[in-house]
Amino acid sequence: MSLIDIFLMFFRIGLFSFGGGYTVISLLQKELVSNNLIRSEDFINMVAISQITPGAVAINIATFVGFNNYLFVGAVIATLGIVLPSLLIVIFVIKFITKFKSSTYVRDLLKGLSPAIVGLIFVAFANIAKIEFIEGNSINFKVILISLISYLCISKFKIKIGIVILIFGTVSILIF
Amino acid sequence: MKIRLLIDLFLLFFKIGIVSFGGGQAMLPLVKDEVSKNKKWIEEDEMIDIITIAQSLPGAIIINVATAVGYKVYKIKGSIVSSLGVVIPSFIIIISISLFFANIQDNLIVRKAFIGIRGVVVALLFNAFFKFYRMSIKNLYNAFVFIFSVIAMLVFNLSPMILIVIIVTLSLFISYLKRRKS
Repeated sequence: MSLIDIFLMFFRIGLFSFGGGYTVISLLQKELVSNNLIRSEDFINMVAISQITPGAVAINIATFVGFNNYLFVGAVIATLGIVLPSLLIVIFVIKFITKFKSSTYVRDLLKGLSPAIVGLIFVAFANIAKIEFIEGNSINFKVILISLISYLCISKFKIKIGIVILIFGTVSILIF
Repeated sequence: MKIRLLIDLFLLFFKIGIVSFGGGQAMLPLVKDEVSKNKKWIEEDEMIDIITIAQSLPGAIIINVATAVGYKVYKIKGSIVSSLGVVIPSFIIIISISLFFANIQDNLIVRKAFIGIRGVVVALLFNAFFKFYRMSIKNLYNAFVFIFSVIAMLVFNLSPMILIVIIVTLSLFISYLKRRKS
């Protein structure tokens, strides 16, 4: 695939990646593996690496694939490709919404969407909690304890997120 | 002081980019507090609208929020600077891993550390859910839409995209009916 094809492919994926997180992974896998841009096992590795690095999985995979095929230039082009659609759409929509802020249609639309978005966050929480808390047939109490204590650190004691991540990353090296 | 504002935007989202493990949703309360309470760039009510819109559109949530906040604060330049800020940390990390630590995910210590970090991400997501629940669910109608969305996605595996299309259509339709009545 040429650099332009890679850009266009990630642009297309960026356009259709909805709801964030893991919904986009299967779309990515299909496109990338069928175009021989990444081997199947590398893709799985990349998803694993994305879980231990900050940032959106889809964008991390774009950066990785671009870098592996066309080095630094490829990484920049692929990352731009996947980010650009949402950049353009968000700017356009925010401009529009700001202009018609007082319209009842816009108010009603936001009133309807806002609880649905809270639902989206709840579903993300429920799905990830299920994966992390339940290990085969047993319940992983150590992880549940980490989640509970770190929740208190964040919401009650207002400790900075970076520090909480560092603390519990270190703690879990010692206890697992 | 305009350059100062752009640098501030970049640094805020760069910082958020460094800690945004487990996707952007976990970071939403942090972004909201920084933008509305700390920097006082955007009023809290409007910030909640922005977060709602950012999640209703395609693309990674954290980048959509960065773009939207950047645009509100400093138009196109602001949106570019903020999105760059949030992308650059993971960009650098991914390239470094490709170059130097190809099999980092197999390292035992790294794997152990990330069991705990993912536990923190669960807490962050619950924190995000609870904060936005208290701000957005204020009456029976809100609660109904919330429960409908959760059941549609968790039980019936409806994709978020379809759910959003349904909610947008229904909201506009209800709005239209209300208008015709009055």
